[in-house]
Amino acid sequence: MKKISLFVSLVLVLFSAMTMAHGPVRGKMTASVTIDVPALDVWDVISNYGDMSWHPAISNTTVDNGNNKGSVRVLTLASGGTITEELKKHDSGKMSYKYKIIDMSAAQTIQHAGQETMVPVLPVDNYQATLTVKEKAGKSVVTWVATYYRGYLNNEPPVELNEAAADAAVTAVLTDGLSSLLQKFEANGDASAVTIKIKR
Amino acid sequence: MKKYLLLAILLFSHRLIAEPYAFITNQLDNSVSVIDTETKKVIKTITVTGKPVGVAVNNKKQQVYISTPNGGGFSILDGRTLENMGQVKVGGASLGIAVDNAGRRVFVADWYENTVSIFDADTQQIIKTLKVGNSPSGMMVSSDDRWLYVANRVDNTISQIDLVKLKVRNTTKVGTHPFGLSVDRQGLRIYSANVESNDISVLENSHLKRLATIKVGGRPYATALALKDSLLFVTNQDDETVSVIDTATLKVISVIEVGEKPEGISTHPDDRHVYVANWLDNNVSVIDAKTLSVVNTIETGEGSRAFGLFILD
Repeated sequence: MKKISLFVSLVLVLFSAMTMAHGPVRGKMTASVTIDVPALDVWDVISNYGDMSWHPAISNTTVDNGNNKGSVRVLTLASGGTITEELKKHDSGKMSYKYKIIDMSAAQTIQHAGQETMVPVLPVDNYQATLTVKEKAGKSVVTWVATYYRGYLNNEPPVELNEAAADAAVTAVLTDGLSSLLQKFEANGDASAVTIKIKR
Repeated sequence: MKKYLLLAILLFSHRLIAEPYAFITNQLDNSVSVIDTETKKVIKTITVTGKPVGVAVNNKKQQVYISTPNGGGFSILDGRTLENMGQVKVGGASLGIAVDNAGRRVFVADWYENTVSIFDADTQQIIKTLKVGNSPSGMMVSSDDRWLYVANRVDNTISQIDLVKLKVRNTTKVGTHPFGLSVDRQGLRIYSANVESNDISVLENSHLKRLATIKVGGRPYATALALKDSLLFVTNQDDETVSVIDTATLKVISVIEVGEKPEGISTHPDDRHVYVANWLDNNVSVIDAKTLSVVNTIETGEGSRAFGLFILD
């Protein structure tokens, strides 16, 4: 009996390995860059939640309550469209702040599974991120950790809203931001200095 | 003689005096961390592929069931040897998982198929598959094993399944996107954490009448009762906090800081210590329900989620 159930489990294990990966699972992306200046210098550039002028993809930022918890900022993208975010936590002592996306405009509307489906400017859902600067041996280590789901929460997402689309879009936002920040201090720095790690 | 006695004590003491183990699914590591709740240390990390999320403990059989949404089923862990005994295939994407108190039946919710499959715990064969609402998530069995409650996330409802007749008896609206559930020991009240409406719905058992709605923190995920059901603890994913509700007054009496993205929550068999898995911090916070403070933080693996009842008695 034991042998049979062992065999059954083995078959089940083999079988399940063949099934396709399913379902939206929260992804975690960690982007980081090291800049050869003291941490306070970098924090000085990025600490103001209402000022995203250091990010090349963002053309304008408005904010309603400064660096206070709950403060809402609206980012206008250089490519058009807006992202609205809420400040969850701001800690100057730890040189870190955390925010989440609460609204986005549509980049396009597509037909999928017989329904009109909105594709937001950042094709993700439940996006939250933390931006932190830490001093390490006189240099700044800037870390940007984003957590998010793919944009389509039901089964069989369209290509515009699958995990690959979400990862590519978030990778671009974090890489462009950090490489641009690096260039403010090191003129010859580029995107290759930014490390990206994705886990899901 | 004395020597043999000592040896015998040593041999048997392991299970006799060992404190309960907590089983924490690490979604991003494809593993389960086993915490000895006496030493508050991880004593083993078990590989479980398929992005493990849900946990259910079978105290009678000393087995632990781990749902694997990307593996289309659940894995069975031996609660004594801490070995992975293999996987049972279910279908689409298994998420919520529960077991009855008699240890006879395992319930697996399928996020995409909108079903709850009922398995025989001895044979691992399907007894019946029931159609429920859209995206069934959290499940909880009443202590008399008469009812199974299911949160239908996308439908914003809770279904009550009759475990004698094996059919849905009643379904009722709650807040937006209910996820984790708790049922008190007498089976009189059901609590649901509603992710999108940031509140807790309180239902009575006989007609699933809504007794109250209680505002909590950002994106509440799951709940756990402690101190003879007098307190309900709620993980708030977006706030790094746990809200504490007095179940007599139905008011929030405390908000406790834990790690980032707190998700799974389960009460120790001592009815006093509440364990919280922090997804983003890769650790577990232990709350003392008497002092309402965090008394331990235990490092686990990446993406600690532990959705369900995860402490084996």
